[in-house]
Amino acid sequence: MTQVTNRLLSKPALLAAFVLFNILAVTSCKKDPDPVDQPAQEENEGEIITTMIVEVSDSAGVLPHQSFIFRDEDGPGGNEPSQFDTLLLAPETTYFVSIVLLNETITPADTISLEVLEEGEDHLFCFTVSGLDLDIIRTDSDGTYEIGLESTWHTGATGMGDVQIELKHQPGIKDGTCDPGETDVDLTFETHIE
Amino acid sequence: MKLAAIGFVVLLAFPGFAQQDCTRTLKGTILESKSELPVAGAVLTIAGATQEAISQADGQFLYTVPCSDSLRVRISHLAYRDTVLIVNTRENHTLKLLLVPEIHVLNSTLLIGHQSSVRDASHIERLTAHELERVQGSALADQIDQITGVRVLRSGSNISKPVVRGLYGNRVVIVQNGVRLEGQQWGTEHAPEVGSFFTGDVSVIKGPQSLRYGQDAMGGTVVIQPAPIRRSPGVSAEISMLGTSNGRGAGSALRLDLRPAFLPALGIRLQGNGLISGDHRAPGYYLDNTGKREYNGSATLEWSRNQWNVQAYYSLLNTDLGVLSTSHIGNLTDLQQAFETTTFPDTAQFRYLIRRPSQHVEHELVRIGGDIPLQLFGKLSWQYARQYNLRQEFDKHRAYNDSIAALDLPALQLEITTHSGELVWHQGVWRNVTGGIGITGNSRKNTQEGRFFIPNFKAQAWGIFMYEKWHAPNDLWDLDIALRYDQITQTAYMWRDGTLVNPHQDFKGVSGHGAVHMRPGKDVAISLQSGWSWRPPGMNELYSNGLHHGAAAVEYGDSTLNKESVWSSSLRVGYTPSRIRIDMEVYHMQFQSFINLIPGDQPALTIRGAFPTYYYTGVPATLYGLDANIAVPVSKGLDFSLGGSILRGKDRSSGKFLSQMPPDRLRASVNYTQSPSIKWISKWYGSVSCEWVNKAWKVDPLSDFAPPPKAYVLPGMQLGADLLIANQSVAVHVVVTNLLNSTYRSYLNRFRYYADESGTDVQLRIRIPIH
Repeated sequence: MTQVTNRLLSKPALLAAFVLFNILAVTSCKKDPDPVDQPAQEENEGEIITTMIVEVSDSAGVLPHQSFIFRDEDGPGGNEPSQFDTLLLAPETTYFVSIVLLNETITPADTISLEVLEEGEDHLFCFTVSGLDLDIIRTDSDGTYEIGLESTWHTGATGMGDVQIELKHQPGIKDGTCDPGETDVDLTFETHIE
Repeated sequence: MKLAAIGFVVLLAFPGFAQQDCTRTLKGTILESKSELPVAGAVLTIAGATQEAISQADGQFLYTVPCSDSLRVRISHLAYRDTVLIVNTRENHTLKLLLVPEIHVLNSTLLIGHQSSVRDASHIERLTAHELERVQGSALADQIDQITGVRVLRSGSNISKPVVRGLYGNRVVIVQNGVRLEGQQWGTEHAPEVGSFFTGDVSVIKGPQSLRYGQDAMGGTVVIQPAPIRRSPGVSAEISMLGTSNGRGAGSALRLDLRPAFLPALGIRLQGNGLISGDHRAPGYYLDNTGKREYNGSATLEWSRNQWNVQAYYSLLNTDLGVLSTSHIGNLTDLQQAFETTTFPDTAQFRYLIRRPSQHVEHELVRIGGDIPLQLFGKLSWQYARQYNLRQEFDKHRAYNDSIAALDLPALQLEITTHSGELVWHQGVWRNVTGGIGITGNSRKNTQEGRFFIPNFKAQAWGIFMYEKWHAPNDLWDLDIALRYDQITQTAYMWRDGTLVNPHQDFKGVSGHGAVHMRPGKDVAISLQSGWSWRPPGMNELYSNGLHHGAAAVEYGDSTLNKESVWSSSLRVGYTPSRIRIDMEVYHMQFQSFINLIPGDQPALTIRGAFPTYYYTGVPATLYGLDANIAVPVSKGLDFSLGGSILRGKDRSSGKFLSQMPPDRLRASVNYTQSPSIKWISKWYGSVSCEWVNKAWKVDPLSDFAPPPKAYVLPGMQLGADLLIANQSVAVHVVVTNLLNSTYRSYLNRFRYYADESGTDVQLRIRIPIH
């Protein structure tokens, strides 16, 4: 043990310790490159979904094309949503509906729904109708299950109620139902059939 | 409460020449315990006498004392632990006294407040290196959880924060190596950036007693103090190993101490450790994505001679933590679904791999400091430190946009760089008074990227403090007093509605505390303490504005918040009839303004649905509680101990009890220690413990998404031995937690909505010291 001790205590070993310490202390001092007084203006996390557009067109091509919008420019929290439209539909009509999701924190806006389509096997839109005579059928597919970016809505008698539109993120667990996964979008539109 | 040794005294008594008169001369030398180098300036006093003696440069002293069969002589020196010597002065003696350095030479008066000793009922609780050895490799909060009154706030299996007197985060200060830790302590899901393997001891100072590290330690201060580098020339090393069954974890640490024979003033320490563990298991299923990696390293260089001392220290901490995947939810419906899930599909496979959601944390500390002796005028301590803290939080959900997703950026990144310095004059001992005065200053810069939670900010602070301690000559009581003044300036930089704003705030204030420590009887010690402290509102409390992931709530800060301030008082009684030890502490904290999250009445509408809202509000609040402990020796080697704590917090404006307060806890254990006459076992111990935690039944049910979990009972076990294998000493400890693999949920776990606590864990620790 003493021999080992003596060897370890030779000057080269000591020098090595010094060098190691200096390497640690001087060269690897970590720095924050970002300026404190110039924060990034937008959330550069990647993205948030700020806007949902429900595009509605009459299958017979008679009624005018309509867009209903939910818009919260600064994302959750912060300012209140600036636009939350009421869905206005005519009775006894079949509509083609497509959903567009946007990230409007950046210019030009990023169309998130294109990414949803691309990752169709991980996503599902769910529609829940309450208090209305309205049937909604998803018409698109990821190859195995529906997605819901495209759907047909068939209205019955006049009335007032709600349509809840949810986007479920179901990576690897999509089974065609709304149960699995986490919720990325959950909006309940007030809906009038008149 | 822990029996902190008052110092070792080696007494080599040589009967001198018998004399007839009634005074004697004590002669001797005072040396440092390990290096046996002479100690100058140590003061020898006896109770009731006006005369004192001081040791010279060669450590020698001469002290004329009255005759007595058992005269109590106190030896005081700032850098060493107070030592009391009982000596028969009917005979002349030549003494050789060995003093033990006070924790560490550099930080001799690091704890402002009373040093704990056997007979004092101070508010400082210390875990020695030996006690910590049994829990090494666990997170800091779990290591100090064994102290009565210290609790753990969790966010899943890997993230834990210490809770002292019901307070945590910005209200508990953590000090490592003499430097106040500056990270992102405000978040409940931010564990303190302290490695799992550290050597030395940990003290918890309950309440705002310690003004040395700031005016804001309302709950308390946790001080991690490294063991001193070996004093004699040579090399020593220590190897520690850890294996855990739950999470299939493995860790090891190596410490190397070096003091060259040709330059004994120089001490070198290198330390490194690594830890890896996989998914934890709750009874019946794996907790998906709860693995952990940790790699830390540190180096210390110390040069000390004739009480001059310079130390350079560098450490780097590197952690990756998996966050329970089911805890990242999209909206309230998902949360509701999580509550209702009672059966867990055992789909999760055991994996070491850490996936999203996860956290990556780095913390770097560089410190240089030293002591300048001023002989009879005490000494001057100085220190400069730089800290860099990086925190990256990765959400479960990658970006939709492929090109952004490919960058694999964290959803939130915070970087804070802190420079701090201090200069403290520790005055010498004069007429039973010790104390000092110091100035501190720091500058912090924080940047954020990604999801907005707290803004970029700059903060500068400086403070001046003084403390004095008077020890009554009759040895029956001590007085402590400390005062501090601080000024803090903080400026935030952020975008609000398309414009860059930089709101600026100034805070200043006085804090102070006083304490009386009394020893009215031979087996009673009483301590009464009262003090005032404050803290500026944190950046999250001022400016947070957004959805809190995992909490399913939108939190709003209030930029008009004023400082938080509190009067806290406590009474502690230590009673030791025969060999029974009883410690009891009651405390009361009166907050003028307690910054707390108050539920709002309007939900916030977002694209993910409506979320409940919470507002940071300063409310008048009162916290009060009781910590008590009793230890009873049953027979030789066998003892029984019982400890418990109760705490209540009330919002005085609404009359409601505060949420997130630790529920009542009671803990009992039976310990057996034996030194068998077997050659290769020098000592072994076994202990069985049981912990009962009550339901948080006082909590307002409307303050939470789900009712508080039920009360639970957790048995545990410890077994260990100091072995001698081939002339090499080896310490082995086996610790079993949640012995019966009980299914339970803890109110103090933020993830209690999503999953049960971990099941049985068998931990094996081996420590091999090589000298």
